[in-house]
Amino acid sequence: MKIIKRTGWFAGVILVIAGLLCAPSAWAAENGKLRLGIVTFLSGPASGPFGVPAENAAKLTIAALNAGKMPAPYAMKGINGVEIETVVVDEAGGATKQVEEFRNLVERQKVDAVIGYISSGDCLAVAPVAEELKALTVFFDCGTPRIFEDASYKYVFRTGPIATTDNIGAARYILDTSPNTKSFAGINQNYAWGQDSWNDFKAAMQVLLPQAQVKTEQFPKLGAGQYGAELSAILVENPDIVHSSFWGGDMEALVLQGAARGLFDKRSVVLTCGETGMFRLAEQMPEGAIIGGRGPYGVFAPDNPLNAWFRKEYQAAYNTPPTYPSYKIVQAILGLKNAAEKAGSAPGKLPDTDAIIAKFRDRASRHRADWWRWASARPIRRCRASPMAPSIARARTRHRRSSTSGVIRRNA
Amino acid sequence: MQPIVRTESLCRNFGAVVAADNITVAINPGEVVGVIGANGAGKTTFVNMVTGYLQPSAGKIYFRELDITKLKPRQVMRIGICRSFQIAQLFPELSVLDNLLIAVSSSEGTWPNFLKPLKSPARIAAAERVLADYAITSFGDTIVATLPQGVRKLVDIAMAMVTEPAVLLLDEPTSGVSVEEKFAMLDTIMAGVGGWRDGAVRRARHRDRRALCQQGAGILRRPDHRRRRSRDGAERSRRSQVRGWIADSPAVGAAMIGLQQVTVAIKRTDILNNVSMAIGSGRMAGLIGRNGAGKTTLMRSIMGLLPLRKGSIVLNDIDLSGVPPHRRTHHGIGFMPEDRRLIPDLTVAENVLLPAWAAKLADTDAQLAWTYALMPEVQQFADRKASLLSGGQQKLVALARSLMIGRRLLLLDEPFEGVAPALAQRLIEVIAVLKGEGATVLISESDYTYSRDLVDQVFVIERGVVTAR
Amino acid sequence: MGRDLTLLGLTLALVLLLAGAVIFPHWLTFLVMMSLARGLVVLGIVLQMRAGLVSFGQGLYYCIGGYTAAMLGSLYGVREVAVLIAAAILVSAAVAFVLGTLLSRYRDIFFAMLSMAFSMILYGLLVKSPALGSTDGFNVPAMTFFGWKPAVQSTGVYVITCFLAYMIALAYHYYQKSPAGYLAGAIRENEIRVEYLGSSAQWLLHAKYVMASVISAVGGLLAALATGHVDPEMAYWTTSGEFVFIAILGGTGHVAAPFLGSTLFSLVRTYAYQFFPYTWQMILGLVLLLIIVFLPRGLWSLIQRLYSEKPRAADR
Repeated sequence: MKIIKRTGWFAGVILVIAGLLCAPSAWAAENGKLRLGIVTFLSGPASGPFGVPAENAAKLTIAALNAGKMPAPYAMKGINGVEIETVVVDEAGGATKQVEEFRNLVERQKVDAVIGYISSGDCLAVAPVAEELKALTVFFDCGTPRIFEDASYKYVFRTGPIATTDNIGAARYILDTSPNTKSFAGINQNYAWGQDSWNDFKAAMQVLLPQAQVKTEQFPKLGAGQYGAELSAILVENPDIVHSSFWGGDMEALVLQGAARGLFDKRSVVLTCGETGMFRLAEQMPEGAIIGGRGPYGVFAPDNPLNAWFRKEYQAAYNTPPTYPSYKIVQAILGLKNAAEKAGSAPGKLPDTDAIIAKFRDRASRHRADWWRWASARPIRRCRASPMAPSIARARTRHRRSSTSGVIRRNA
Repeated sequence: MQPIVRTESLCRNFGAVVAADNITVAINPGEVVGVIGANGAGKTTFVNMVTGYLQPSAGKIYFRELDITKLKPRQVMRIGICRSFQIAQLFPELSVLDNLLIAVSSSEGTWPNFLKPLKSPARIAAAERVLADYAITSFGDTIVATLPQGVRKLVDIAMAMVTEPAVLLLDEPTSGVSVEEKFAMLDTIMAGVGGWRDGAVRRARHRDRRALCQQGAGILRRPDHRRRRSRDGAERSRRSQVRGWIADSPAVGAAMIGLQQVTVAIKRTDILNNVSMAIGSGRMAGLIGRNGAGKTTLMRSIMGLLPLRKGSIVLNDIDLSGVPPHRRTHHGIGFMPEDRRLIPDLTVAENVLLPAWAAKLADTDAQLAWTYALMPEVQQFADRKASLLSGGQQKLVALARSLMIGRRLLLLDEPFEGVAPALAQRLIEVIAVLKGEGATVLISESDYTYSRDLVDQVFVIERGVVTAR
Repeated sequence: MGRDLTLLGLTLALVLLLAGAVIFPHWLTFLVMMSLARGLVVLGIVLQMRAGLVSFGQGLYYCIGGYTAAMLGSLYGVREVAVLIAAAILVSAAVAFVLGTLLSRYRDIFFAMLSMAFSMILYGLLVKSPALGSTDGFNVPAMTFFGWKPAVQSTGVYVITCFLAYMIALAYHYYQKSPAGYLAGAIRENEIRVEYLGSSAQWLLHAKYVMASVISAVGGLLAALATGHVDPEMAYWTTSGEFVFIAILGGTGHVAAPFLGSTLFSLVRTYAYQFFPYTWQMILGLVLLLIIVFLPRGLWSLIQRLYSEKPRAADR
């Protein structure tokens, strides 16, 4: 008897587990809402500067959309009149983990679309899976050009510019503002982002300013925090320009340590991701530093009603002005909304994925004169050494005091 | 006749300590040879050198005139020299049968098979044959960790004999076994060894036994061994001394330690069964029982190392059940485990001081001075690492360590076990002094050999049941 | 106990899992696939654990397996899984043989740290190789499976994963019952005695190290095929630490334990992710802590208890 009881107990446990496994798919039953997966860093070093500001902006935007309170032309409720519900997932844990969770989002949670991914490695790994699952996926931040350069995808979009444009833009800015540059150096984190950024910048400089020499290239490891040795190496070489794609805490540490060592005194320092730290480091950010915002975001965004609305709401909700990750995720959401609403379904009904995709591509190729020029995905070719349009450079980097001092003072 | 094992001027130093000094011997096939010496004389070192575990500092070892000085243990074993260990070297988490099966399979070739099962009928038959030879068949399925020491020794020897070696070195084969059982065990060993095919040793004749059982066994006599006294003579002289000490036993006070209906189980088997006993303050009690009767379990229960299933233990009005094991030493209980349990990497002095540090004893220096005064030999090797001491010396250190803390109660688990007669004398002397100073002591022994005349009261333990006598 | 419940159980599990290719929701087949792949890596750890060695660098072979597959696939245009498997086995065995000559001399914490060091060296090398995508890694192209080209790539990976895991688990099971398998426990408990029984502990550990490495590399290969992506994170010490954790979670008592452990780990993690997006690490840690506290010998002890108590229960 005991044996039977035991086996029965065991079978019961297995049944309960099986039930648990099947349950979530039932929850994703049709409730008439659009289910949107949002994937961004909620933990780890990238959560502070990128993940959480992006998530906050997404929450704020989706709430406003569901309430129909966005300024025109985005005033229609939700997306095409359909309310949006979100499933938020942490991007931490590496590419393998993200592939697993992406599948769970699409197949278990049955989301209609996914917006997310800051890490380039995650984007690279997720893209083919999205294609296999035929899941509409919008990357909002990752910067590697390898996604659309190495393969072509139907279901995958990116609404932000690639890192290559940042760095070529930075080089062009230097050509415009200091054409007599004789030498330059780089300090970048020793991982894909840092290596790619430096290579793009170096290649662009060699074409645009062939007389400028590379003095030294420093690659401290990601999250090192102490840059004394690297700073010494750079200061000894005394270059005219220092390039860095540092982000988050590393970037802030570099600014503080560099300022103390006189890194910013006689030369221009280009911080291609400097924008996320400009409010936090308002007091420490040195005069004349060249700051990038990974596109026309944050303080570089054009002055129009939508931007004014967004800045005001974000400041009110989170007590700090929005930085570029916040802008970029809003851009992805609005890009998706725009494409879906143009796909020709009656309001209150969702168009099918293929129709959205067709319009998304259309939006991308026609460059609609929206106030955010980049509000659509475009497969950007890697253009290491070819000169970019001057408008990109202007959008990318700017002397801080000339355009942003007002903003900084508000916070400080 | 060509000697089967021959050594030439073997020397071995451990730092400044000379463990073997110029040993030159030759042993012929078929001989049973005893090696006799006091604790620390170098018996184990000699065995370790011959079997390749230790490299001699100088000298040569030959097996059938083949130089084997540089060989590793497994190579020495492959050419036909096997050994047993003073402290049985087994695989404690495995059953006795599995231990032997591993030995059987290892004897088959240098490389073990990776896919065919270990438990083939042929191997099981071979292992069971060996178990039968050593009369331990009934323990086949027992996990080694739960075996009494005596059986472990037999398993240890059985494993060495699986390969049917040309030479067998038995390192203290009967240490850890009561004197009464020693002879029976030797008979068992020699019966097992007698079935040996190679013929290096044919049959142990009766006269060989004494050499084997006295002190250390194996194949050789230390050239400079100190003394070899007849067993009777040693006992007689010891007894006369012991009587002299008992005369000035102090007055008996109230009960220092009391056990009430204590039941302790290990792996759901009751080892102690409803034990009640009390020892008066300042009294010396003996706990007599065979191997596996539950002596060690009783002491470990008092120390809190084993949980009580029922009953309570009271130390001088303190109920110990509420005191966690590591706090019990703070109440002045000193414990000398049978297997010494010194920390090999610490020096002797550090080992002795350890319980005082743990209990944050106030007058550590005075206590240490008193301990050293009682046992000056411990002070002599105070700076040596515990791992460099011989088994008997470690026993002394373990006693010294228990003295550091055991002001109210001393638990001495088989203090005379595996100790040369001379050293046992020393231990008795020390214990007698303690008695004079009013310590309460519980001594376990497998028979009355040493403690009979030392103790005030005797408890006999048999299958977990204690009766006062 | 019957003659060989394990053979029966494993075969039954294989049949069930293969049927699952049709029955299970896709996300579950993926979870099973990843759990089996990771289970293989953990099996490699358990194999060494039984001999008393804890490898904190099993990610090395996880990574070697994955990168061998991905590099052959995307750099050399190999499109047949059979070739990848053979290559992963050869490469990992060769690397393990060389490293094993050194590692088999070390025990305890020294072995753990040294194995971790080797894994971190590979991590460092990969991070400094922009040609291999540095930290971003790169993708694994679609494959044929012994000539078969499934409509959906992951079906093929799933089937091949089930079969490989089954075969390796069976081999491991028989190995554990062999003299070499028993000697693992013997080495853990008393290396001196093993030497005196005439076996070389060092050689045996070397052989076991190579075996464990090959098994882990196959796990890495399967994981790379399943996710379609490799990156240096596979060799990072936290990945190896996760494997050790799963090994402890599952227990070392049986070949099924690592697979059970890794499946539970995946399930707990994915549901923690879903229900607690902000505190999933804490939930995960808490659940695993509870399991370790209440089942110190791993999940397998639960099942063991269920069956080993049978005769006792029947007696009463």
